[in-house]
Amino acid sequence: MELIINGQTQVMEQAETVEDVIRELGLLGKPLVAEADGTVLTSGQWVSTRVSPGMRIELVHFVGGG
Amino acid sequence: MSQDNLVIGGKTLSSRIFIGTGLFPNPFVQKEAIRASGSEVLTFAIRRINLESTEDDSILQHLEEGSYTFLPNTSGARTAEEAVRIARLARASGLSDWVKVEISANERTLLPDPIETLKATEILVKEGFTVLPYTSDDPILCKRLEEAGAAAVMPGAAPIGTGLGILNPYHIGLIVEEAKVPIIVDAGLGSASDVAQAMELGVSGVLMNTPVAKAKDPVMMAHAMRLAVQAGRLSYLSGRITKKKYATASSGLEQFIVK
Repeated sequence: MELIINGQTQVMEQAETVEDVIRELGLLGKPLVAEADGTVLTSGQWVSTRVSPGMRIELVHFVGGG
Repeated sequence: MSQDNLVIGGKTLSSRIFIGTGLFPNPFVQKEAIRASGSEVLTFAIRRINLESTEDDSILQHLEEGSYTFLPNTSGARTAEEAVRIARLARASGLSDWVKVEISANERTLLPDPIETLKATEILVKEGFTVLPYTSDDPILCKRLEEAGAAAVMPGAAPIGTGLGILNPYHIGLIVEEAKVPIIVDAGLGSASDVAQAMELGVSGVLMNTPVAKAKDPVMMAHAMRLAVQAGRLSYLSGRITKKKYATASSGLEQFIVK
């Protein structure tokens, strides 16, 4: 299905949950925060949040800043 | 001065310097500079992960696990709504419930939008965040942010990254006089003398990034900033002399050898 991840359309055939998406992107285990359709998720909610076509997912992390 | 700690949001800090983590030449220099500054509070920004690059550029991998308090900022937000969203994302990391509200409405000056900053502060305080708004050096606005529940209020010395120093020391002094929460001068400082001046005006601490990270020797500058904070703080607490127009002789004007 097509998902909009960080503003870009990506095709994810296998992913059923947000955790699957993060795994498919090779980001599992990295310090990041996910948001699905505007709802911020704790890492514990990744596995229970099912993805649906067109879902907007944001994956963010801390970078240097003042 | 055995115990002169700073307390923000129930947390006791022995250092009065907050360091930003951007712009350092490399992670090693950054780590050494943070250590040299003695800082216990580090600021960060929140950004999208670059999905094109597999390289791990998260700032956290470069920092030692330690006693740092993380202060994520909401930079990039132009409205209260955007700042609240970034703050929620930052808190979901589980690393911190502190947030530096930073809402810039003008790309050239990056000056804070005072109205949106106040709105975001009100919302985030209600949501249980420890809120430290970066704001203009306006005494009334700073009071309003305190009344909204800010844990500390952070007026700018000058626009971010300019190194112009404290453009309106009169206002910073007034803000300190009126405040019941810690005042942290954030942004615009350039060198150790600016830091000492801020501390002599009675602020509780300083937050900076560019003047350390972009110095020719960031580690040495971080050390200088640490000493400047200490010197300025001691000078403030010890009570300076009043300024006078004319001279006062140090040894008196009686019993001159040559009359």
